[in-house]
Parts: sequence; structure tokens; C-alpha cells
Amino acid sequence: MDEELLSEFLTESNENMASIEEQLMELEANPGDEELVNAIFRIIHTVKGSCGFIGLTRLEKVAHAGENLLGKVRALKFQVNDDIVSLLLSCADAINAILDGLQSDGVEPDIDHSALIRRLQAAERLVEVMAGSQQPAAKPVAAPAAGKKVAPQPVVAANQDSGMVAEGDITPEMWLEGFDDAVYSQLRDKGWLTPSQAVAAGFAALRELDALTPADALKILGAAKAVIAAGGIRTKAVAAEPEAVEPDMEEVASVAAPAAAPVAPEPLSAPPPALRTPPEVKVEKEPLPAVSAKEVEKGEDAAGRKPAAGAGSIRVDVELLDSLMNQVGELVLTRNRLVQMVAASGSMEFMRVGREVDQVTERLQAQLLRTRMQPIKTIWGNMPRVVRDISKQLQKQIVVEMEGEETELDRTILNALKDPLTHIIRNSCDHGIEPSAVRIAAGKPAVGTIRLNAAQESGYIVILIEDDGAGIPADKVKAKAVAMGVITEDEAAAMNDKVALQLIFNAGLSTAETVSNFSGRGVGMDVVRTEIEKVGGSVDISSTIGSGTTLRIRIPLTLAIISAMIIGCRERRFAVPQISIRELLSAPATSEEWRMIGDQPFFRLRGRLLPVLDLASTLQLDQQRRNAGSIVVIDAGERSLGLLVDTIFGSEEIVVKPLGIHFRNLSQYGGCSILGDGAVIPILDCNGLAQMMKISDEMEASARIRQEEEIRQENDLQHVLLFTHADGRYAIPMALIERLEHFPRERIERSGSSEVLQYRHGEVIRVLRWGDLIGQPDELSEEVYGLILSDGDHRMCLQVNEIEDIIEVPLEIKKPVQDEFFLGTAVIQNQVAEVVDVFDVIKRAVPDWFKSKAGGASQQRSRILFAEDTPFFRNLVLPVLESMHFEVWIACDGEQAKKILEERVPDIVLTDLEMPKMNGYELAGWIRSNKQLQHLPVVALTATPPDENDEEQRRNFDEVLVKFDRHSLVEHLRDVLASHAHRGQPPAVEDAQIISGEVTR
Amino acid sequence: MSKNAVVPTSKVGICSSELLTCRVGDQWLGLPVRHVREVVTPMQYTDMPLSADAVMGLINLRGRVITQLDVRRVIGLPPRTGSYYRVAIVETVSGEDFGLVMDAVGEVIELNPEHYEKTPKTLARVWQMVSDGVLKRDDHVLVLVDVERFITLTIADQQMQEIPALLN
Repeated sequence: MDEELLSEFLTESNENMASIEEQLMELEANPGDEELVNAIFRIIHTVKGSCGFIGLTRLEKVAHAGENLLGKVRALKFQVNDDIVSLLLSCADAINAILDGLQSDGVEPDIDHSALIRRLQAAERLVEVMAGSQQPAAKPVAAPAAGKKVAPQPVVAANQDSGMVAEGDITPEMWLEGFDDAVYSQLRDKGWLTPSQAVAAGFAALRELDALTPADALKILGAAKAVIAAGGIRTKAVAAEPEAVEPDMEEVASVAAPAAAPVAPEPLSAPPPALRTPPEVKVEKEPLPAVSAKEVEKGEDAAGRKPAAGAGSIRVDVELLDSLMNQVGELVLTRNRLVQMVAASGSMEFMRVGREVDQVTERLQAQLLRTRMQPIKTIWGNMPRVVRDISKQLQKQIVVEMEGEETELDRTILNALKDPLTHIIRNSCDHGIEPSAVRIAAGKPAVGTIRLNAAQESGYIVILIEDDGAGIPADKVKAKAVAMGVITEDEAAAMNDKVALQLIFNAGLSTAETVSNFSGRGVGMDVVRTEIEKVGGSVDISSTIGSGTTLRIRIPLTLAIISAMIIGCRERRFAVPQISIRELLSAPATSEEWRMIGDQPFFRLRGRLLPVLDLASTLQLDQQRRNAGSIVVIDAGERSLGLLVDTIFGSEEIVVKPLGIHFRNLSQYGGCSILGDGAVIPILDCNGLAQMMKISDEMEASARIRQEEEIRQENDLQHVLLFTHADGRYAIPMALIERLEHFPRERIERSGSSEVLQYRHGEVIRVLRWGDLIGQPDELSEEVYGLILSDGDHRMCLQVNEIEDIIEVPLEIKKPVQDEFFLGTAVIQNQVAEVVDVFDVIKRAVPDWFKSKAGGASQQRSRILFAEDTPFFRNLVLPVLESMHFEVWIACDGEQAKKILEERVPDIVLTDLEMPKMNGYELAGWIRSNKQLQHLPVVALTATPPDENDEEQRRNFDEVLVKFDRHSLVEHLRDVLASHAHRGQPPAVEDAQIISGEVTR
Repeated sequence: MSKNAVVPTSKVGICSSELLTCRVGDQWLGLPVRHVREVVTPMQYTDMPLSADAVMGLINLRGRVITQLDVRRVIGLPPRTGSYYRVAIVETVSGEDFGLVMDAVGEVIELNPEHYEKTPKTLARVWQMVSDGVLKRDDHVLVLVDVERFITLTIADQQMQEIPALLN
């Protein structure tokens, strides 16, 4: 088989077949549209005609069966129903399948179409039978044909005798339709105007004609053969037809005759509608005399129009375009270098030339990119068909609406998107849109809508696929994910709905309760995501229960040139595709957001712990981990992670080049590019990098726990009152302040040695001046502020001069100062403030203030002091202690524990050994040395046991528990408590009153 | 995969071949000229972390990115000491070009069938794997390298590990 011919045939057939689905569906909507029937018929006919010549027998058979059915439909003016359309669609599918096979393998694929052909034939007979009922008029064909006669119909010379080649479905324009006048006249000159003459002349001779390309010659031959073959088949096989056609033929002949001499075939490419359904063709071996003047006119007309359409575009091999694209890519890179060199040269002359080269290259690149662009319509085109088929099968009513069909995308990307899109739409039909009854019950229109929208958004195309269906219940997705072992229940509980929905892209998840033919087999959405990511895109999903689901696909306009962030790591440069980048963070070693869990660094970002992948160690550039530099937050699959790099240079448009065979197994790289300075730069593949990250479940769990802990701390915001005095800035937690009063200084009265204020309901309360307390007394201003501090039914007033603000902040107290009155310092609104220890103030100023305060601190529950520095262990142990009904006092290190013990005494102390500031040994030692506390039971809980032989170390503990084990912890604590109770050593300060950390007797 | 670049089923078949002679360590090699596009001087190259041992980075050859393979590393010789080397850009049937890093490049010679011999068993096994025979020269033996087989040898990691064994 001539490869060139085959490829031309394929190109043309594919073009023709591309529109057939759409037309068939249009026909389904308008079953009586004769023009459409004609157009469809012609497409199939052309395919059949050409393939008959190339010797594609399978294809010919299928096409022929389709053609016959269409011919019958056309001839009988049959109103097609959806069954016939479905059948014709299957026929078109079969043709496409064979064409695809030819395209890829060069031979017809081995597919058995005999069933389809039988169905087509059956349908053909059915049409015949049903046509009678559709059109009760006795002569179904004669009537329409009669209508046609009035048109100035060019008809091939009719020889009434040769009834054997007369036929209903080959028309005069068919033969030679689509060829321009030049072809026509050359054929006439050669005397090859009838199909048989053309066949007799042979392909080689036809090919020699100037006006004919080889493909044209092929087409003519094919058409000619088809006309002849169809005639033969018809007379042999279809018995009923000739009768129906016969009268028509006569009528035609009678029209044709007066139209002067027999006329030549019509060279029109696009005959006016009225001409499209022509009556009959009669093919004869005799030469055709002449063409009517009218016809010549028409021919010219057509010829005049046609080149206008044809000359404006040519077909170019995609490979050639790809190669051109590569060349231009290289030109762009060379240009970049040239521009740099020219700029360095400083010569005006050079610069001018350089600029021109620059601009021309730019335009060349932009325009070449355009040649590879195709409207998204090319892949959306068959979506209505997909939806039609599915909705038929599922018995749902669904319409497709499209917007932005003209949006253009690189053809490579388009091709890659086709399957994922189809899958998504199938899913929407199957799982999204509800059956009509359900929809009506829910107050929605009976017909569901799937809306496709494509638009360009700064270098990307965003495709939205929306349905107005039931939506996806996030909890169902979660439950499924848990059942499938994709996530744990804890994770599910912590996950918000939006994130949970993205789980449907995880392999093995499908929420449909019933598995159907179209989707819900549990494969698919993960493939969808993989496919989209392969072309550099991303996809996410959102859904509202009851009102629908939206999938959002974001893809680069073109694959050849991408926007990338150039980053540096240990003196090397890498490119990270911009589409994977969420944000950039500065992460110096001193940042407080670093967390280490095991060996794995995390970076705290807006309350979440982001796992960080150190590029240097991942790529083995450096054994040393730095935990310093910049973090590129990248999207990789369902999670995002931070890529730790040294430097971020900036964004650049780069031309993607493939890497050689040596890097096929390195998933870390997605390709390479050449930078302006001529250096080759690897492009990182974020998904590949993410796979390098080994985070164990344990680590993830502890990260999550820590994250929650930190969020809890964050939620622990406090209102603080800020006030100033002289140069000082002070803060008091508002929780301790009952009221803020503003009054003239005259209201402060003297009462003995102290100052008092008449408060509400005639209550007289003590006034303390802040200035006096801190030893910086000053003059009272006219108006003063009084902070009313209260505890129970006792109040006092702290007078201050200047109130700065009351704000809500996480109160993080640092560097406890030795100074009395203060808890420590805190940074509030970027300024340091000293946090006032109100009760210390009061205690020191008015020692007897708490005296009268009655405290009924009855100790029903045992109290435990738990000293532990890591939040992780605190979270682990706390539930256990609480389950034992302990009242738990927590200290974050030994020093805090000591401070608490100075104020109040628990029934037992549980402490970690390794802690900052004061460790467990020191704490225990201090307890034992303290008279009041020496009998207090102390239990150590530790991962690193003390030296067995070091009695000194162990002596101070009642028990040392190595490793956390819930059961043994409970037992030991109980035992220790019980033995102390038994020894009759009750908690040392049973009758102490405990008031907010202050102990009095 | 191999097109049997130079190798001759009969001695007559090799008459028309021209060879580019190169040296790696003490060993002289012959590359079929029709595989060699050009020979270039050392260029700035980009290291590719994690890549196979034989890979000596990527070079930008007039806008085309080419993988550079260090022949010394492939055959298990110690690293080059000086900065002098030459890169023979060779093409393969797959369409990908590679840069083969040689210690030195000699001349283009006509393959004289008179001097052709099968690869002697005494030669390191790595050469037996990638060569189609040797050419006896006045004072040395020139190994005829099958470029396709040589490239294949550099790809699979397992094979890389075998190399020390091959040298014995």
C-alpha cells in the first residue's frame, strides 16, 4: 500500500469523521433535516469510496453498511429515531476505530464488525417497512424527488436502458463532488467524465493530470468505483428498492432531457441546499457530450469560491511543527545569550541589531506556538455524545453546556486531556446528576446540566467542569478512605471537607454505592489526576451537597515553554515549575518555626506543620543538614511540602527539553533547560521529589499532635491591658481585671495610712498607686485610671496614669526576670512589655489582703504535679492521668514545677528526667531537701533510664518508669499513692488555701 | 539494538570503514567515523545529582542538551588528573547524541582488514562486551568500539556494578 496515499486518506477521513458525531446528534434533534442526512451520507460515502480503492476491505464493509442505511433513510425521507442514530453512531465509532488502527499500525485492525453490519442491514430493512407507516403516501420516494425536480438540477446523461447501474443513493454530485472546475475540465478533455471511464483510465493516468493531486486522483477513482459497485450491489441485493426508485428515475430523466443535452457531473463543492438531495445518477460508458451553459457558470462560481477557502491553509505534518518548535526553542535560548553579550558589549550598533533579533525571535516564537494551538472544542466535541450515550443508559436527562470552546491549547496537552475529561464527565453523569424523579423531588429542574467552561488565566488555561447534581458528601469520602486504609480515623476527624474531597483522586477510592458500567469501578480519578499532572497541570474538586460539584483543572498553555522558579542549592541551580509552587518562605536557621520530629524537619506555617524536604540531602549534594535558607512550598499530590533550598533567584520562562536515557529512572527530574548564560539547568519534578520523602506514620501522627498542641496554644489568646508608666511598658492579663475605671484624681481619698476609692454600692476599696509600687512615684494627672482587681468578693484598685491599649494576643512570657512584681517579659505588638504579676504586687503591698478570703479547697481528687517539657509526651500522658481522676497541674520544666511546689503541694509528682532549666534529678533532689516536701512521692517517667548503678540518682525517686506504658503507669501511680497513704503521711499542706497560685496559711 | 557498526562478518565487509582513534588511559580505541558528529573541547557542564556514575553532567552544544559520559569512569579507571580532555559527540540509532569523554583524540584512519582480529580474550572483559574486534597497529592494539553497545553499558546500574568484575 502506498504510504503517502494512506496517510492522505487518513488525514482526510479523520477530518471528515470529526464532524459526524455532532451531525448525527443534530439529526437526532431534527430528524427531518434532509440536508443533514445528506451531509452525513456524503461523509460515509467518501470514506467508503476511497477505502474501496486502497483495498481496506473491513473498513469498506462497515462504511458500506452505514452508507446503505443512510441512503435508505435519505431516499425514503425517513424520520430517524434515536435507535437509528445510536446505530449510526456505532457505525461511525467502528469506522473511527479502524482509522485509528490504520493510523497506528498501518493495517486494518482485526475487529469483527459482522454483528454491527447485520444490525445496520436489519435497520435498513426496518426503515423500509416503517417508512410506509411514516409516510402513508403510496410512493415514498417519488414525492420528495418530485419536489427536487424543479431545481435546475444538473444530471449526468441518462441512458434509460442501463437500469442495472441506476441507484438511489449515489447522486450526480457525489461523483466528482468537491473538485474544482479545473479537475472537471481536464477530465472532460480526457474523456474520463463517467466513473467507468475514470476507472478504465486508471490511477496512474489520473495522477498525471495537472489539476489532480495523487489524493484527488485516488478520490476520483474511489468515487467512481463506489458508484459502479453500489449499482451492482443494489440490483443484486435490494429487491424492493428499484420499484420505489423507478418512477423517480423516469421523472428525472424527463427533467434532464429538456435541459438540453445530457449534462456533466456537477463540480460544485457546496451546492445550495435544494440541490443536495438529488434524484438519480445514471452512469454510462458513453462519453458525455457537453455541459450546459448554466453548469459552467456554476462551476466557475464554485471554483471561484473554493480556492479562497483552500488556498488560505495548508496541512503540515505535526512532526515538522514539533521539530520547528524545538528549533525556535533553541533560537530563543541563543537569543538570550546574544542579548546578554550584546548588552555587555556596549556598542549601540550591536544593541540595535540585537534588539531586532530579539523582537523577531519573540514574534516567531509566539506565532509558532500558535500553530500548535487548537481550540478546546476539538476535544469537547464528542462530550455531548458521551453524555448522550450515558444518559440513555442510565435513563437520566442531562444536557451539556459549553462556554469558551474557542479557548486554545497546545495540541499535545489537548490530546492528553481528552481521556481525563471524558472520565470526569462520565463521573458527573453517573454519580453527580440525579435521576429526574430525585431532582424534581429536590426542587431542581428535571434535566441535569453539565457545564464546561474554559478560559485563559495568565499563562494557564482553567477548565471548569460543573454539574448541578447531588454533590459529594465529604464524610462519605472520608469513611471510604478510612475503610480503604488511605487515612486513619484520627486523620479523617481532623480533615476539613475541602481536603477530604481531594481524596477522591487517591487510587482506589470511588464513592458510588452501586458500581456501574461507566464509572465507580474504583479506578479513574487517580488516573485522571496522574494524566493531568503529566502535562504539568493540576486538578481539584469542590462540592456543595445538594447543588453540585465542580472540578477545576489548571494547565499550562503550552508544554514547550513553562514559567519556572530558578533556585539555588549548594552552588547549583535548579528550576521548579511555577505551577507546582504555592508560596515561598524565608526560613533562616534562627526561625522559631522549625520543628524536628525524629529526623524529619517540619516548618510551622500558619499553624500547620509542613514537612520539609532538604534538597541538598535529597540530591546528596551535602551530607550536612542546615535547616536554613528558603522554603519553596510545593504541591505534590494530596499534600504540600516544603522544599528547602539555599537561594531563590527568581522566575524565568524556560524551554523544556527532555533528558537523555540516563535519567529515565530519576523521577526527581522533569527535564532540563538552558538558561540565558548558556548553562544547562535541571528541572525538578515535584511529585518525584515528594516520593523521596519518607515520613513514617508515626512521624505524621506526632506532627499532627504537635500541630494541634500548637494550635491550642494559639487559641489560648489572652486579652491583655497595656499601660505605661514613665518609660516602662506593662501588661496585665485582663482576666484579672474586673473593671476599668476612669475618674478624677479627687475621688481617691485618704483613709488612715492608705488610700481608698468609693466604689459601686458604697463599697470602699483600697487603692494602690503603680508608681509607688515600683518605686517611681509621680504626680497624679487630673484624670486617672483605676484597674479594679477582684477575687471572689474582695476588690482593690490599681491606679495607673496612662493606658495604651487592650489587645488580644498569645501571651508568651519569656525570660522570667528576678524582679518582684513581674512574671516576665513578653513581646506585644513588636514591643517588649513587662507582664505584671498582680497577686505578687498585692501580696507585697497588702500582705493581709487575702487573709479574709475563705477558701473551701476540699480535696476530693488526688492532685498530681506533672513535669514534662515535650508537648508530645504531655499529650500522651495527660489522658491517662485524667482517666485516673487526678487533678493535674502541669509544669513545662523543673523550674516551673519547683515554682508550683513552692505555692501548693500535690499528692504526687510525676516528672520527666531530661528537661531544660532544671532536670528531674535536680527537682527530686530539691524536693527531698525541702522540709515541707520531703515525703512527697516522686515518680520519674523517662525514655532514658538513669544509670542502674548510680544509687545517688535513683534514691530520690519512689519509682522510675522506663518507657511509657499506660498500664504500668496507672499501676505504679496507684501503688505509690497507696503506700504513702498507708504510711500515714498525708499530703503536707492539707489545709492550705490555694488561691491562684498563692499559698497562705 | 546494535547495528554492528564496524564489525564485519567477513573481513571484506570492513574495508570501507573509517575510524576515529581515541585514547583512554593506555588504551587506544577506534570509533566508527559515521557515528561521530564532531569532537569538542571541554565545555562547562552541569552535574546531575543522583545520576549514574558514568554520567559527567550535561553540556549545551549549540542549544542542544547532551549527556556527557566519561569513558574512564565506564571502564573503571581512576579519575583524570589534568584538565585536558576531548569529547567525541556520537550519535545513536535512538536519535539521542552523547558526548564520550576521552583522554585524547588521535586521527581518522582507514580500517585495514589485514590488521583486523577478533577481540583477544586477554583484553579486559568490558572491552569484550563493547567491542567488535581489534586492530593491530605498530605498537598498540586499537579496540573497535561498538558505540551502541557502549552506551547501553552505561545505562543499567546493575551493569555498572559489574564493571570491576569485567575488568579482570
